[in-house]
Amino acid sequence: MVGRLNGNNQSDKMIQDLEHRLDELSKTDHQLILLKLKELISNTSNSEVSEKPKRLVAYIETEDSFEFQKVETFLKKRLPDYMVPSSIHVLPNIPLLPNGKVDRKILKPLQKEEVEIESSPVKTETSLSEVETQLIKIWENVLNFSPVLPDDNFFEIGGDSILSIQIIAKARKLGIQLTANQLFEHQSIAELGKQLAEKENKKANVQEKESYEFLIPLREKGSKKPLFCIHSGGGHVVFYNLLAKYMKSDRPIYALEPTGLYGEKNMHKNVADMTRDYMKAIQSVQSAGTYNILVYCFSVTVGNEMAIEFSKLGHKVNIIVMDTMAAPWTLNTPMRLKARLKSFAVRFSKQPLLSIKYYFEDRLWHIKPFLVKYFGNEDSKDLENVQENLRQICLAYQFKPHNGNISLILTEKPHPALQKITVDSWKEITNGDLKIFHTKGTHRSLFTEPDISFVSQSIEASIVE
Amino acid sequence: MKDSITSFVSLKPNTVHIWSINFGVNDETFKTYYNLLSEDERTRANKFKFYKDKRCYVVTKGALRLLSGKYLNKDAKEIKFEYEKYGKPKFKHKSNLNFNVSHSGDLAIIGFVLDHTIGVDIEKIKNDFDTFEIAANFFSKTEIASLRKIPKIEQHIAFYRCWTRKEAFIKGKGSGLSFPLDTFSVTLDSDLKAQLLETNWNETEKNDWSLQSFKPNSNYLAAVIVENKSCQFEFFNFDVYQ
Repeated sequence: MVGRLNGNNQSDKMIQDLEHRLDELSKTDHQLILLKLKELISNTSNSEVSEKPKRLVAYIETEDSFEFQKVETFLKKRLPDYMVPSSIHVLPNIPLLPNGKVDRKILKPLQKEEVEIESSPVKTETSLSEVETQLIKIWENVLNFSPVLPDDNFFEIGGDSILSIQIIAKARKLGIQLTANQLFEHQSIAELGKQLAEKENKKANVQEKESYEFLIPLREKGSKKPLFCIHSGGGHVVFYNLLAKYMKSDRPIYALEPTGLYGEKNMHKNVADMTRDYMKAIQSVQSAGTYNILVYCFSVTVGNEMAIEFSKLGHKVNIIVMDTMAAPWTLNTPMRLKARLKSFAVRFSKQPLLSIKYYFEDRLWHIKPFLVKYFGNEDSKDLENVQENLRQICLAYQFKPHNGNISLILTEKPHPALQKITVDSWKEITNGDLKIFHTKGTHRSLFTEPDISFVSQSIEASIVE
Repeated sequence: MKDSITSFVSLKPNTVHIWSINFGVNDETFKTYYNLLSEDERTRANKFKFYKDKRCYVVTKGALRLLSGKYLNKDAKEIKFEYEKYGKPKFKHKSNLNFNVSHSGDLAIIGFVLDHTIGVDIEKIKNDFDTFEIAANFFSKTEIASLRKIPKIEQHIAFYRCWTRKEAFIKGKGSGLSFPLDTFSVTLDSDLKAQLLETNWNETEKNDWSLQSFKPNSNYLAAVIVENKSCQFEFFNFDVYQ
């Protein structure tokens, strides 16, 4: 960019004139000027062979002194940043060729003497991925200017929420699965491209391992150790959903659900096979211990098996047991029965009807599958088949001692003897650490509001980072 | 600003004040606003690539400071802001005055209300995009169906009615665009009848909010929503009082 400006008052006047003239221009004139400028910029950068990022340099011829700041402010106001020269040189005379045009050859060496202005390395167009190139086109189209650079921040180049959803809609049309969240978290093409590529890779990897089918991410993001929650005897894992709301916001949480829920035929035939597949799924997210694994009711069997198998691989585990005793179905010792009866009596005296309902509901787990097998519809049959399968494989499971660590979270019990029995049952199982946490709430409503708000705190406290 | 402004700034409970601000200001005014900003805000302002975006940020923030100062009886420069998880700004000091800001084109709006949560949105109306392309991705089934019933020539306006109401609501909720936009519905067939139709996560929540659309000028459409079953909306033009 070459111009002549006069000093002092004259320069003021010139700027005013120029501003005035620019204001008078029609929209088309404006566009023409911008187009010319762009052409100029791209021409100069093509002709320069340089590894360095291209920069725009202005040379100005002035009489006497002039106010540098004013020119700079003027340019910044009138031009988008990328068109504002990164340096302005004041020359006594602009060198001319005999034909009256500017002699660029003499100007060039002047550039080399300049101090390099620091700037982060910019991705060149050739190093852009296909997705990034597509995104740049979409951004330029929606934001209505070009060029958009890979490191431009969407919200600093005029982006807002309605433009963001236009971008997302256009991207999806091209098959790029972009969400509003991603755009808000990764605000430049470079970051977005990286994020999308990572997601693609992760998906491909997980599919290769064929373990994705068990993992239900409740929250994928977070810097803390992930928590893995194994399904209970009910099969589905939706009851874990509130954990994402109450656990620390930077803790990733995954639930593991059994096969068969959606009518697949290949249900696990025993706890050992099931555990092996779940471990693979867990390791696709977290490659080394300590693994924090939450188990509830039925899944104490899987937790037990996992503690054994992960220890064999040299990994530490922390099995977080939610208010369930070890081997609840196989060890009906006289003492346990006595405590249960006492506990039932206490409940009965307080809430007779409810305690009977719960008594039958809890035990219905053993009978219900047969009812549904003959009378249920297809969907509930799938679920009931899963539940029946889980019931059978867990009854067949033999609890074995291990060296893993256990965090036992206990709810309020009507009878203290029942607490002791639960604690003792785990003491028999583990040679590792047994940590006990007491929380408000009851066994049946552990994962629902309001109990979950206390329970999640105990879970947080029990997690090994 | 003239003193006349002070007569408007006494805010009564259950009343909402909406200010519209034109940020096409001259250099001098721009400087005045810039000087009101905090260090952080100035740094942020200087990151914008284009002057018009920078000016929008500076004038809107400056106006927010001036107005908040009047309502709170504080010096505009002394006011401190903090941000909720999804970026919704609020006053750092304890106050029952709530506000929300939005801008588009050359206009910004700021809504103030006591005690209740508020969300506002303004959009400059454009018709250079495919409304259904966006609706298909972001509107609820009910809304898409209503949009189809609108005569083609009015579809862009209807789209903006829907969008401003939806965005005002998610801004009110403070959850940003991470909130699933298809889980609630608003009316879109008239400027006058603005209403939350359904809130899928909680059937009765739709009754807890008051929604209102308005036109700051002919090229713009705006919406304001307050978590209060009934309230009165009062509109002011900021430029007049400068």
